[in-house]
Amino acid sequence: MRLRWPADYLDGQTPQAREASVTLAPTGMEIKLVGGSSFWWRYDEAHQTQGRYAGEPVRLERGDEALVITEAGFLDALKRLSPKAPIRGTEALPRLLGKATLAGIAAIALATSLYLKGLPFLADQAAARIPLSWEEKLGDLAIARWMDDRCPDPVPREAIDIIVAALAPGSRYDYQITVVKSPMVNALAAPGGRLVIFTGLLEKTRSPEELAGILAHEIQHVEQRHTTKALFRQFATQILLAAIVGNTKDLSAALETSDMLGNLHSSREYELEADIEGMKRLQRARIDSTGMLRAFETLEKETETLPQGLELFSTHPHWGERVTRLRLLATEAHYEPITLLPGVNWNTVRTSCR
Amino acid sequence: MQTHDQHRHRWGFHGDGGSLLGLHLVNMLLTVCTLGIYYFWAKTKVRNYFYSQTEFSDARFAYHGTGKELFFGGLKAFLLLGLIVGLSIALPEEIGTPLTVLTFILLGNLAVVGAIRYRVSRSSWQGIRFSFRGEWKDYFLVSLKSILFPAASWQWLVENTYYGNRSFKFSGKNSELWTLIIKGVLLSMITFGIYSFWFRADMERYLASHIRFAGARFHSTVTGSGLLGLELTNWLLVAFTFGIGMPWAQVRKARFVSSHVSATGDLGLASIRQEKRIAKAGGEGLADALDVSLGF
Repeated sequence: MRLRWPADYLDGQTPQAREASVTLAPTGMEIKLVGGSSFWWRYDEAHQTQGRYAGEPVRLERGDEALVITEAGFLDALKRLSPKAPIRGTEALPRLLGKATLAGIAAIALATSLYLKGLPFLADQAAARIPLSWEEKLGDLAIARWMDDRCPDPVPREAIDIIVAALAPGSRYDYQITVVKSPMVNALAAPGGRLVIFTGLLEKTRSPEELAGILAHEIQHVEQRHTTKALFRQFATQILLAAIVGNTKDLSAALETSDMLGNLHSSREYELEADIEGMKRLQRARIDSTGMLRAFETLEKETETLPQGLELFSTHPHWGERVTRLRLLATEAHYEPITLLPGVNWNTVRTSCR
Repeated sequence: MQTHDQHRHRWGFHGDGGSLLGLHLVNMLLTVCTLGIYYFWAKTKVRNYFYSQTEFSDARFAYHGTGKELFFGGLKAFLLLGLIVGLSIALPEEIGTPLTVLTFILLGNLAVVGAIRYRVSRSSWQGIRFSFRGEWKDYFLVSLKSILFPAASWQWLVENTYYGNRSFKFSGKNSELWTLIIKGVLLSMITFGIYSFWFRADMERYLASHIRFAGARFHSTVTGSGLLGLELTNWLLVAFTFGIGMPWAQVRKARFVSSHVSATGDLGLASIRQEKRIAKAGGEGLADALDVSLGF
């Protein structure tokens, strides 16, 4: 490695450059003026102000003094001899661009993680802290669109009330069940204990135990405030978007979403949690848990239209997977099930809204 | 690399569009990432690039400004302007409005001179700093005087500029400048502005040839057609690349200017001594905040 380099030395007092030679050492360099004195610069007292671009002479400064080395390769030699020297070296364009790209990626990653993790966290925290009465108002608002199609017959609602009371004893929620005339094979849990059962689903159940299985799942959504949380997450996202875009129209649209609960997607983790905890809830109430299995098998047949490969893109976990998991849980528990709704003809209940 | 103390001293510019584009890209990304705070460091980096790539008489210039001092200068200017705006709102309108207008005129002068002082004091050649020693109070009077005597403002600018302990000299004459200005303005009007390139070239050649430093005289060989060609091709370069060609246009301009300007004679370097006048960055901050462009 070459240690001696020709240089121009500027003393910072006069503009006349002095010819010099620089000899590199591990901690500094010796500068010897042609026909004159020599002195020592430590690397940590010098700093590089020029020479980061190819073809540009290297300029090192110490106070007002400066050293200019024109020949290429000086910085490489210095870096090899003393890798820790606080001299930056030649900065090639690709490296600069690399740095910039890294900075850009870091910024995007930060924004994304804030969006993916921070926002749901804050929304969940907010959802967990709002008073019950707010949740109930939100729930009423959410189910308002189905009120016109309510089933006028009190029979199914009264039967369901009994099942819910058995499933959620001592709950802080005052459950209100709405049976809606609709061919949809579905049920949903709005915030504040507002449950909606569509007659399409009710008619498909062959026993009160099957409906109890579905209700246990929905009650779990209510008790864990899943819907409220999902709603808050959606609010937060839309408000954030509106803030970024600076559009008040989007803001008001975000506030109107509470009316569009039917379109709300619950996440896979919420569904799995509601399945497992719902099953445990059934078992605590000593209700025959095979009813839940049968109900889910029925639902599985109803939703078989979604091809298996698309499972990842669906918000609901694959039914087969859910049923298998539930069957495992059902066989683990051993208890004598109670008779749900003794003396009630389930056929009458499930078809009374036709 | 001994500096020739006599004869011909040439300018040169060694920058290239590619590395300047890289610099601009990095600056842009970092400025966005830091919500704009990096702007001051970005500005410094670009200046550092242009100074480092510019050569006079075989030695490169150096820029010594830092992003940190620009940042604090900008911060001070921002606070000062905020205070003035706040006062103008708090005071009754009949007092507040004229007071604010007056303050902004004064600040405008302060900003221009402050920015020149800052920038000149951060540049060096062969290890010796330049400095600008004009006072902002004088600038206002000089501006007024130059309405009738155009040489006055040039003289003030040039002769207050020092390299080390020695100032530049200006020998332009009011009568000659007036002749150039009247001819230039009239012909520009008749030719719908096309002559303005020749007018600019005439002015630049005249001004350069009347600037001296010690025994050296500057001169410029800029021509109107050369300027027109440069501006036209640069405009096409930027327009047809949607702005990506901007760094190349900047580089072409710097090359054009340095290829046309030179100095001949004895620079008297033997008698030059370091004599720094370190100006604060507040003026530059003000100029930025008030959007005063210095044009160099």
